[in-house]
Amino acid sequence: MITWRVWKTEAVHCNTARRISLQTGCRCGFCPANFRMLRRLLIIVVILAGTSPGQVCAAGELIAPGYGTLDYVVPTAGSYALPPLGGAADALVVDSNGSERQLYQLFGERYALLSFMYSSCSDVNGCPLTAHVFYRLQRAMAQNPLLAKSLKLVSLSFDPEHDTPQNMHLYANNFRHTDAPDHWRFATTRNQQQLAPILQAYSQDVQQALATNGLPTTDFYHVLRVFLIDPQRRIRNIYSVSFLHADLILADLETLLLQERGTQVGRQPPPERPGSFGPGDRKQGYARADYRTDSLALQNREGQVTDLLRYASNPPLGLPAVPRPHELVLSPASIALGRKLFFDRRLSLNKTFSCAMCHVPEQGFANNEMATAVGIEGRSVRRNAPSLLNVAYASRLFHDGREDRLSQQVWAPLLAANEMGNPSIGYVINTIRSLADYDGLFAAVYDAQQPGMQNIGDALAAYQMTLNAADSPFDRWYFGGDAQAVGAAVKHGFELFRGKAGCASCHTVTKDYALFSDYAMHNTGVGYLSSQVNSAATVQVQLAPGVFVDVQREVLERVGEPLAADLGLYEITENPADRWKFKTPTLRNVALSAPYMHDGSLTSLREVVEFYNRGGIANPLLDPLLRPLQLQEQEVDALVALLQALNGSNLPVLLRDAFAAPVGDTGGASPAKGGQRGQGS
Amino acid sequence: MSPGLRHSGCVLLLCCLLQPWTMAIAGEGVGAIPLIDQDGADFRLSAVHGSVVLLLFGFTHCPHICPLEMSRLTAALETLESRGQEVKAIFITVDPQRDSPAVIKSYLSHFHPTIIGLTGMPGNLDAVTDYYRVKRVQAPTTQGSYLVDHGNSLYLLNAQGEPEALVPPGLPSSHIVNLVAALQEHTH
Ligand code: HEC
Ligand code: HEC
Repeated sequence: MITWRVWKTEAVHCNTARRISLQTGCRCGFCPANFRMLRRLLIIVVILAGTSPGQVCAAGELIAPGYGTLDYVVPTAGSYALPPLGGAADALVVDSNGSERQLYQLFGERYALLSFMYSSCSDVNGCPLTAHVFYRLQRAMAQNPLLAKSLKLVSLSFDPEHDTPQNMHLYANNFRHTDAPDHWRFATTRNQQQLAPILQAYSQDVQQALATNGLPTTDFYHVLRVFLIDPQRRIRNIYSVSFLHADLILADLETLLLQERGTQVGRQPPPERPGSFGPGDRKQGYARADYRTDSLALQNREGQVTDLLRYASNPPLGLPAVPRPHELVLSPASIALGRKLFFDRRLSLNKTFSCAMCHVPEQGFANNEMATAVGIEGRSVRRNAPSLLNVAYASRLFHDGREDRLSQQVWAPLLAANEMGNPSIGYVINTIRSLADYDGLFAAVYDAQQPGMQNIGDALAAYQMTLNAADSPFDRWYFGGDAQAVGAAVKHGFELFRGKAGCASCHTVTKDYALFSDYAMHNTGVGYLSSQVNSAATVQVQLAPGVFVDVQREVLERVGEPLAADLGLYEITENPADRWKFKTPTLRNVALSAPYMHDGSLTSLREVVEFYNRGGIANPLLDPLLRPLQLQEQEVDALVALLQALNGSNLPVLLRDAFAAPVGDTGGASPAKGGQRGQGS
Repeated sequence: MSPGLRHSGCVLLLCCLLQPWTMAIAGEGVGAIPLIDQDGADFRLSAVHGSVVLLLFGFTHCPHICPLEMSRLTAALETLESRGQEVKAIFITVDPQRDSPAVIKSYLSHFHPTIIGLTGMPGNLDAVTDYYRVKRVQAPTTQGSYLVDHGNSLYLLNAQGEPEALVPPGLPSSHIVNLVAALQEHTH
């Protein structure tokens, strides 16, 4: 039996699904919305009835993108991977002729799309949406023999009581007279006992909705999920409301067919050099006198909003499916809201400091300029701000792994006196509630809720879960089979990485994807070193490119805070064996997020590799996997070359999107409540 | 089972499932059940036997799926009309309590003018919905009102009043048009 984490049904806003021409005959400009607006909507329908077709969405109403055209470009087939998500269970069902059949038989020999239905489903973004998308696919199959040969559509009822085999026969009859009679199969079960194991195997937590009087109704609560199943009967994708679209399904199918044939075509252009168009200064080579900035003037920076959701639904090549906490709403609207919060400087005590000021997008969502972070009013933080790229996969958060949920993690920086400095959760909530440009945004995503502790965290988590960057040169070579994607040094580096240097025992790479982290806690000695040896009398301080001075430690400590000791995991568990243990970070995009380690004590990738070459820092609790490696100079180069080949090709897209976010300037652009409305995102 | 036997098969099966009092009616056929149209006149489904019929169940207080379904039906009827294809369309309420003939009439004024709206004695409506295996259950809302959960697929009935196909919501009106055309071609 398989289990996987699920998405909550998302509602998609009209403004993200504009240009919908509802071919279902929705001619009266009516757009189905949530149940609360029912009566009012009926009036709208009645008023609008008779007007010309076309304008389907009125503001604030909800309809899934599957009914229309996507307003973003579908990722090129073959430019991403669809790792198996587990096995698709077989089961005994009843087909539309009343015969008992195995589900696998209905799937046919090739790919299958499996959906669950019931004929009294009244949620327009539920079964009717699936029917609409299946119909489109069915039309495409009628026109494309290759597609027809590769795919079967299966609708299985979860209401055996009312969806009898006879009724399933009537559904199948829709296509009896067409050129494509057998592409879409309808099935049901004899009874609940036969159905229950199927629902469980496909995590379809169907519940009969209860009326307010406690009696069951014919409505079912169920999270819309459609399964794409391969010929080996493995689930390759699960579509929820936001992704159930014929074009996306066809691209996925084509991707799988290409992969079967071992080809990867339609590759995206080689990555642009991240930062080359950016407003921020990546300060690469800042230590040298010949340093030249590559940043753009602020007014020249170009922001471009993108559909971030796709990076969570179809992560770029080299990444597995994103683990999705089932209670998290991940939709264009929740992501846009999270992004707005992430860049909003007003969320700090003095209204000047946003998350993005420590997790700087053009610096790998980390901070290249500071070994350890600095928060509001210049207050120091004892640790390095880690990159947030691919943080969706981190099963442990923070360097000491003390948190495991993005939605909860956000309160740490929001409330830390030396980060964003807010005195309380309530203070943050009130700040957001008082900002006019947030009016209605939370309610639209979170079921009419006001901003609150849970949904603020959820929105920020939603945004961060889309910051997935892969399809790097390494991925295109290793997972994509493109021998030209990287040079010999990178290939050699990877051999060492998995072999002689032993890096892969903690920075893990699997056959199908690579996270480059086990997200476990290890003692590499970095923490030990900083807690023991800070006796050097002078500290080198850089003033400008190529200009350094040595400052007496004693002098420095008089003007600044001395770095607090850091015992890592021990501070959480108080188990002495956990001293100086820190979480393994991912190495994807690592070239962008210098300096390195939890305290930013190593400034370049070469320094890191040399650190490992020495076997880490000796201490009584050093991880047994670390030992001197005896790497030659050229082997060190090869490992560095590998680490530099891990930048995701979609980073420029992520960055342009980040630049498009409003930053919550208090200079009048986004006035507080009562004033003129600011620009929402 | 051969297609010819299929329908008689289901009717037989249904007869066994139905209550004794509906059995009597089923004997005469669903076409004989007395219903009331939007003008308050007596109406039996046998009146439309001989034509292809598009049959929809719903209720006027139904918030979103029904208006969508009615709009889809209207769009299909407009195309069929423009092509000169003869078809009858019927809306049967699953909420006789609130849907009086007058209420239905005003509701229908927003959709295609040829749609016939029907209500009836609750027992008679039950017999019709049971015959077509349409679910209908009242579901109270928190506002003290109620909705009626009901099967909302569109029935395509042949000239004998037997279901030929069930069109789920979500399929476009053009599909309904094609389906009607195909059925008429096959019967001629
Ligand atoms: C003052 C700088 C600063 C600000 C502002 C800040 N962070 Fe961080 N962030 C850090 C540092 C430093 C860490 C590591 C802390 C630790 O390990 O104890 C961190 C860790 C994280 C992590 C864990 C990443 C991982 O891989 O373990 C996430 C997620 C995160 N921050 C998100 C946010 C969000 C969201 C905001 C805004 C609400 C925010 N941060 C604001 C400095 C900052
Ligand atoms: C025993 C497990 C382990 C092994 C083996 C290991 N690492 Fe690490 N690596 C870690 C941990 C834990 C950290 C974080 C240490 C800290 O924050 O103080 C880390 C940090 C890093 C970083 C810094 C990343 C950042 O964002 O700060 C790089 C780069 C790195 N490792 C590369 C390598 C390479 C290359 C090898 C092989 C030569 C290797 N690691 C072997 C556990 C390991």
